[in-house]
Amino acid sequence: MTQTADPREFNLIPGHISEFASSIKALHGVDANMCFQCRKCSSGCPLTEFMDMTPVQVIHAVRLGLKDEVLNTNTYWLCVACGTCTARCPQETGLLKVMDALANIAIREGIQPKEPDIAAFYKSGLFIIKNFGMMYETGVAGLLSLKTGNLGRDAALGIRMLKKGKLEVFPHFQNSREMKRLFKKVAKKERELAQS
Amino acid sequence: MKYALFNSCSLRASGKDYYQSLLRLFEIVGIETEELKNWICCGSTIAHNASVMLADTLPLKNLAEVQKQGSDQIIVPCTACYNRFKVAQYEDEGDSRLKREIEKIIDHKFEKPVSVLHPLEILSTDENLSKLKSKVRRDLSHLTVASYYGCLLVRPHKETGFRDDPEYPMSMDRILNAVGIKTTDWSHKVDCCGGSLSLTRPDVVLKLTTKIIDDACACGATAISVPCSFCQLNLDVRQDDLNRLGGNYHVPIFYFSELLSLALGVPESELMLNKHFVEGEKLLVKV
Ligand code: SF4
Ligand code: SF4
Repeated sequence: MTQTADPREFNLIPGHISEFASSIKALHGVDANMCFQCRKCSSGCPLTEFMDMTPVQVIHAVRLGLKDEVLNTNTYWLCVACGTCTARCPQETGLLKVMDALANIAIREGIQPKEPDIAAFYKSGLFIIKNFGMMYETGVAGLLSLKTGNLGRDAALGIRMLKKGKLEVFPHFQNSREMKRLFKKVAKKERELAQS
Repeated sequence: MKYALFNSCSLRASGKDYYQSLLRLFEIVGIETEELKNWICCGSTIAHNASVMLADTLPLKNLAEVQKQGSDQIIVPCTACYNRFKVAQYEDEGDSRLKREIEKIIDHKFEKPVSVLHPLEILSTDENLSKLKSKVRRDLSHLTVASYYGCLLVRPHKETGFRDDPEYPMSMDRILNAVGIKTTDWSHKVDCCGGSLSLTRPDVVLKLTTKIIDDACACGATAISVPCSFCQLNLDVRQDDLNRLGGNYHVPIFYFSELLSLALGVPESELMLNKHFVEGEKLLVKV
């Protein structure tokens, strides 16, 4: 595990619920203050060895209101949403949703992602879904290579899959008009909710 | 009783082989299905990073189409879709404000919920298990299979409600046993293979898949059975990678539906086993 920042002094008030934790609770319904730091989440998480902060550290940081620190980790990008943390948490804190919330916030606030390739992958995927109405794996791989400049890595898997007939060469459209309409409506609703 | 069937993105590309074998299997067992027509991508593992509301809207839109098509039950073979459908339903039920907003967006009111089912849940009922038993046409008792369920079906269990034990599921084992295939006890049944990082962090994925394959082998498995096209591809293609790095991995990764179809007498030529990277045909022949 890599160290993220030097230890700092924080001015903490006992019993105080940080603004950051409150906003996550209000918008995503997860209560970081339920966590009693038993670490079951992190023991089960398959990715801790690659993460800047382990899941238990993330939830603690959220509760303390260390917004910048958490948003500048690679943790929520690496999270594969396997649900182990959430399934095993005795306090039902819903860590998986904290991870989603962090990604949602980071995207909205334009935080520079610590795992740019993963962020680019999600972005490309979303672009494809929105415009084609369905997933087009070849297209995502292509877009991703353009964005990351890592053509070799992505092409290698792609070519092997194409050879096996596991990828479609051309995209299909599936109700793409309806899909675009839904994207628009959701975005509009979210703007309204954020303002209210 | 006809089920709607969600023949979604991955089943039309990397999971074609899964879909093909499922259709054959359903035909033999007598499970009637009708493809969902007006479907869209459910957002899979991608939408929830950007917007939780979007991630719930897309599956619910599909479920609305199920009801418009005159059904209240849908079979969802892709585990990523299954997970998204179930989580969206759960979150929607638990949040009346969200429910109101989404129903407005998709222009549909759910009078009653659609029941979302994975093929494993349907096939492992007592009735279907005895049907499977009675239709065996081919002896595959020489195989020892590790049933790998992965993460998306079983977790978070409160939300997916998958009809099995979330830490040590047995439904796939029971189905395979019913057609005479032995399964092994092992400890990585529900561990994550890292599927969604496949393109972006192959180093991470390689490590996770290696652990899974190694444990299966250590427990005597000669093949692994999966219910998910991401798991299939991931466990399969990573062995190719490992062998390029000098490894010696040759564990065929079958869909449970392929193994069942074979046991029920579907010839290899009607399945798409040649789409797998690790060749499995030789193993199927009893010596
Ligand atoms: S498992 Fe739950 S209660 Fe325990 S440390 Fe993790 S989040 Fe906190
Ligand atoms: S959902 Fe994410 S944080 Fe939780 S155990 Fe899985 S990878 Fe780790």
